[in-house]
Amino acid sequence: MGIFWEVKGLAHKTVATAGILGKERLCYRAVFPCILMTIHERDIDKLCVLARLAIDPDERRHAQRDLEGIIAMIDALAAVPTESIAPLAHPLDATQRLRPDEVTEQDERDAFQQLTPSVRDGLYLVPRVVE
Amino acid sequence: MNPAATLTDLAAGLRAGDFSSVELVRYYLDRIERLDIHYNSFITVTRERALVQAAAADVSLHAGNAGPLTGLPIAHKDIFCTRGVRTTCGSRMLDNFVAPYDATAVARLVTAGMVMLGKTNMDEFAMGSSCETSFYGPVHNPWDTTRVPGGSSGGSAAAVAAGLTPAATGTDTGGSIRQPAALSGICGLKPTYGAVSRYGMVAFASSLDQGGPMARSVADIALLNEAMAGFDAKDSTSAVRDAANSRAENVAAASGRRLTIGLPKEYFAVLADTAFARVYDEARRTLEALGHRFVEVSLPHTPFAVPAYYVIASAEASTNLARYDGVRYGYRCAAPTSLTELYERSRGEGFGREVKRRILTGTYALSVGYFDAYYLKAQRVRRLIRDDFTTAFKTVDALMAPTAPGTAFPIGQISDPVEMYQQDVFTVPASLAGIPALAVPCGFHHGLPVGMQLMGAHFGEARLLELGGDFQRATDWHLRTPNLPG
Repeated sequence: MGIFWEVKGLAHKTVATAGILGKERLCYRAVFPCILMTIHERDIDKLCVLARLAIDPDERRHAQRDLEGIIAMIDALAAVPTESIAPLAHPLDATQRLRPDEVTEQDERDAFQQLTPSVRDGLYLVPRVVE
Repeated sequence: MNPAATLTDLAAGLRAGDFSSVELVRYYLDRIERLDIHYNSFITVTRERALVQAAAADVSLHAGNAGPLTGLPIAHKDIFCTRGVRTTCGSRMLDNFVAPYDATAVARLVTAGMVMLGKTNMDEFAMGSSCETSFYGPVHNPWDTTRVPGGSSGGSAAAVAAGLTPAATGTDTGGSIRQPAALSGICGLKPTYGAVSRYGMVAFASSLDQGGPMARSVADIALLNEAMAGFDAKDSTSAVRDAANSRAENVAAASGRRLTIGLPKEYFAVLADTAFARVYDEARRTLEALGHRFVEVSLPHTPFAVPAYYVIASAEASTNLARYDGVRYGYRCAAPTSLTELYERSRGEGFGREVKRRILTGTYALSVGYFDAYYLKAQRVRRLIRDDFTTAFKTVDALMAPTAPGTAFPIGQISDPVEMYQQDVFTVPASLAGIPALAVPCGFHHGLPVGMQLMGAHFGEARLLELGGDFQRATDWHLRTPNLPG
């Protein structure tokens, strides 16, 4: 399966290619003023701290390689000129609906605490933060 | 009873007294029990509850106050919360989660009298295009059990294709209803963003997530969509629709008008396999014979839909999944020594590899120094993609395109995530634009089903369903079944 586009004329002197080249080999390439990002294992460690995510060394190696490929793919976005385009957060341009400030929910603490791994006297139990 | 029966057939059977709802439900429960070992399409089967619901439906049917869906079985993707029945989202993180409430989509189908058979398997947190990332093991395609059924609603698609249920619910963030429907030879509708309530649907990417129906025929899809869609105050992005407007649209759509259908050239340009592409030529000729007219259109930003989608969806996922902290519900690691370790290990052990990959991608895209370059950039490109569709719908009534770039692939074949993401190349544009899209079986390629995708303007579901129904009155692709054990 090969997916390949060549997009010309989207920006001054820009030719972007995005897709799969060759049989098994993947290439998401954007030919424009952009440096291919190298992801180091220390970058993965930083992201894991930000995301509060523990990963083992094997996963860390995979994550590094995978993320490099994913970032190369999303870097193709830089080829699209968007200076005068506003970001779109909602596809129908809807705005947040407001409702009257009235109580509509009942207290269901007991039902919700049925789901927790550890609870005592209506409080959620977690390990000590300060020793 | 026939495992390939449509909801419409079964409703007629119930009304004619050929069988009761209890008999019907028992038939499907027995099939699941005997045959799902081949497909792994269900995570939970709710036999007792189903038989109680079916008995109640039989009472309504006898009393003459039954609706069109009363007593008919359905399975729910295990992303929809169901009170008292566990909702795992295909993840170890929620292996023990029993929701204290029903999702609105589920509640609406209960009100319509439908009987829940159980909860279907899926890619973990709906992140995947193959149903291989589930904590409960991969789902097998009934057309060839060595192949994937597509994903993420692959359990729902496989269960319908295998005749284990006549219908199922699914969710579609970037193609998760349409692509498995295509790869499994059934129909699936991703409604307009906001048409079906997201309340009680485990969140993946909130600006894209949309629930919808999966079934054998477009007529069944229309029945289910009617019951599932509607404004819900509990969902902050639920669409407010004027009932008069909807009726007018339905009348216009039902008038049997000959439509102008656009063929987006960027979609067809990348179909490398000419024999596969020929299936769509054949479908086009069928629709032409019915009086519809085709024109080529251009959606120039299509090549950037997959990159924009994976920035937006991953960014939203990384924030939505921050709630799984091991404290209030879900998986908790054993013997943590600090609160930080409890968070990190619970998440590290509770999430699978693909989910972690998306969280890391999203965290990267949202981090200081990259937010403008990735997240805001992707949102700007999203506007261009939506505007491509808006422009196209000024000259055409609907668009016809492939649903997926190929047929079902072998389990384990695609290990590179970026290659897997290309499965969504034809489905993510409609997701980003928030428009409705219907997957309809339209032929076979090397013995495996091929699906076409019909896309319409916002809230144009009625027209798509009319067009799909028109196609199915002239073809029988949707009635073909794999070799189903009796």
